[in-house]
Amino acid sequence: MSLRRTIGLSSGVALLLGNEAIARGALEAGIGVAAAYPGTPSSEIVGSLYEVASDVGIYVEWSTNEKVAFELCWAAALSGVRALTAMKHVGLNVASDALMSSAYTGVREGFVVVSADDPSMWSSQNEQDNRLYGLISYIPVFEPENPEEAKELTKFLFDFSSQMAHPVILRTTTRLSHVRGPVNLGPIPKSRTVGEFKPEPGYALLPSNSRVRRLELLRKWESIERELVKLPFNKVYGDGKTLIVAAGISHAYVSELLTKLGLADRVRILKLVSVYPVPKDLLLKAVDGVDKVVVIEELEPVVELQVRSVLSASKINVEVVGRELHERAYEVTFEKVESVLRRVFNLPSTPRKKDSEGGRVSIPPRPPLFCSGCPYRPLFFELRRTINQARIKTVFAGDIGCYSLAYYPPYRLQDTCVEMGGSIGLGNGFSKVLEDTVVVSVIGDSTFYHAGIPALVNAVYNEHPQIVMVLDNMVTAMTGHQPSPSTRVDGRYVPLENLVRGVGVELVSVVDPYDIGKVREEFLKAVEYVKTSRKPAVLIFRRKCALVALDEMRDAGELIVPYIVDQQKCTGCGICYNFFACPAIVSGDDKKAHIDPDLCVGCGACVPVCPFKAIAPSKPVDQGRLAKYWF
Amino acid sequence: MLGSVPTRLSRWPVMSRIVNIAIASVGGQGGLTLSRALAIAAVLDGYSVRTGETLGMSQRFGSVLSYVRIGKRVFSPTFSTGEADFLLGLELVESVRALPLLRDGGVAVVADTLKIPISASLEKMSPRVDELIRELTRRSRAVIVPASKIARDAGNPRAANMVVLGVFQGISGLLTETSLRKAISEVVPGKWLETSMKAFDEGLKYGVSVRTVP
Repeated sequence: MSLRRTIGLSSGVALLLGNEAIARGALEAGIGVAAAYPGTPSSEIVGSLYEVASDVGIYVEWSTNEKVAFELCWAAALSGVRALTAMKHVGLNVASDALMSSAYTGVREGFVVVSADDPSMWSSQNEQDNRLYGLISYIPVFEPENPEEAKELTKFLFDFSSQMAHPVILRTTTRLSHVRGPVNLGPIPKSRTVGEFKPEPGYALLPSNSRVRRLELLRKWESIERELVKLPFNKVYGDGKTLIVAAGISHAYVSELLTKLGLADRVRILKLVSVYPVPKDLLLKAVDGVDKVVVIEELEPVVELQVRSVLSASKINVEVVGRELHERAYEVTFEKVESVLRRVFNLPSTPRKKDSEGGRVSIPPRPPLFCSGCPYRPLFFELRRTINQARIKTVFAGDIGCYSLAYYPPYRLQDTCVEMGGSIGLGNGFSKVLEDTVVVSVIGDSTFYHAGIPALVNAVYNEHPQIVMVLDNMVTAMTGHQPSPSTRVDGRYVPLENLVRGVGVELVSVVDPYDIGKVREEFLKAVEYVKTSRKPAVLIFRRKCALVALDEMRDAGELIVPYIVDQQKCTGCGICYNFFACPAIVSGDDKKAHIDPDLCVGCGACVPVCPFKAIAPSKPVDQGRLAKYWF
Repeated sequence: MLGSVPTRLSRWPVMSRIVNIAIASVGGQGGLTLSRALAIAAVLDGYSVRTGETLGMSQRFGSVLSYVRIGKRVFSPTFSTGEADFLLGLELVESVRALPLLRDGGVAVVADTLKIPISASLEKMSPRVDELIRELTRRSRAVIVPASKIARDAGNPRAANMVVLGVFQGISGLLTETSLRKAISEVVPGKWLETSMKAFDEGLKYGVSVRTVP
């Protein structure tokens, strides 16, 4: 079941991903516009709306970055059209400039900003608790605990945002965004997609207007706090001398543990969905008559600090425990909450499993890899070889995308990987302060459009001698193949080389990364150029993401011809399986290479890698004819 | 080679409590499809269900671990170490890695497929099939299934996940076959449906046969 399969339904139960449930809630609220830049774990929210946009008659786009997406939705909401934008936690950093001002302008119709946080950093560079954005921006933050509640809450928040004329933040985490659960469907109304703009002084945040707006914002905040006391999603239930305050997914764990640990009739629970601000009156009611408050939440003590502050201001002297009960880092798990509750209620610790001492076989780690056919593999293989052979001292400033996997052996070609666009940005600095070092920044097409352009303009204007490698696989691959401005849609796209030449880069080459001879040649040429001219050079490595190309081949009925290794010619040198490292090529007991026909995608990229010409297609194949799928 | 067969597992005591299932696979093997099929079937059978997994980098041949929880009322999307009633494994290394999740007496249904992680072949520390199977058998009630062979014979080499689903159902009788078939038709694209269903059926037969072995 996907969101698409539910759009004809106005009742019944569907099994939806947390993210799909949020999208469904937005549709049931009559959303008119949605926009986002993809990022795990947020991508399926706008992704599923994108799929149904024409069916339900709403406008949905993948924007170049989170700030751009935010602003588009903000304008819609200012014009009276309900809008949703969704981003991963670090995406909100990119959009934060807009976020702050949106609290000052307010909105005319519902504007929901979804922040999908990633505790434990399953696919992120940092662990950041975006509930804290509520504190700095004066925008209320809400956090549901399961897909069903996520759908209902999203729907409610559009009304709430409209009523308060204020944006809201809906915060999820990986354990909600990527959880599937049953969701009760409701009707989808006809949405309003055309708005009307009525100018107000508060929309033009010049200092004279902003000073007025600042005072209005503080007054609005008080009325938001008053309204939240009535929020139907917050609940106080059960009774006992201990109050457990639990927000978001933590409440799901607590609910189940009450039964498991036999605590159901010994505790009072405050389930919080409005995590910032915590409604004061509700908290005071919940705390009445208890002698201990236990706050269970993920990452930073956002709720706990509010609880302490409210109790202290109200001169209520009750013991509060929370963050010190478990490690601050990483996601809250069922296991962690269980151990906290066992300690708080003096229950014996969890019985250990018999074989918990572990196994006798050592299990190797399995980091993610470039896929079979990935154009990045021959590129990094050849760069590693070229750099080793030519003994070039390099710093590789990497970026966010599949190519960050080149950090791992055997390539080891990412010395830094920090944030979107950070490659060219750090490259500018490295090239100014490092001597006798070739600075190479590596950035994908989507990331380049997202945040690489200003840094490249800077490199040109201020003359920073770095090699900028733009890896153009014509899509935003890592997050699930959302279109980037280099994705051809009916022939429409933004050509990278025009853009790069347009800002004044003199050395620009477009190279097919499968052509490893050319990769070497152009790279060495660029090394010479940056050394002598002291200006930036741009190498565009262009070939489609293999997963996209192969899908298109399969859809067109093309036969995928696997390659084989001629065992007579193979000497067992291991270059193909050790240094090229395609998952389809494995070493036999005799060290000779073998190709797994189930994993081989017939790309042929390994052919020029073999010094003994031992690799060939298992039957004749015309790669020239197949090129149209790859470019 | 077969592991020890869980002979004492008759029909599952139908949902008197939450049933926890862990699914271990390598990205691209269809572990997520398997978890979705189970979850949809559970909803069709009228249960509450949660599946939890971390997506993101999992497409790219990395380790993928899914949690499926089925019962009358389920709140948490994951469970603790030592709380899985079943471990469904599509690959041996990943199944051994996930073993600590399984409770004492839990059942592992594991495909006999080995995919050596590149890191292991670089470090020359590849575990062997027989070692891994011995480990699974020693530490759980394991059923090792020639899932790839069964899937290939059914005409769809990529349907080993459906074979494992069939074996699991054959052994556990947890859900209704009608719902499972409906769920499979929801998650498998049309052109692969017939052979995937065949793979499921063959797995089911296999599961029933190992269940009745004395």
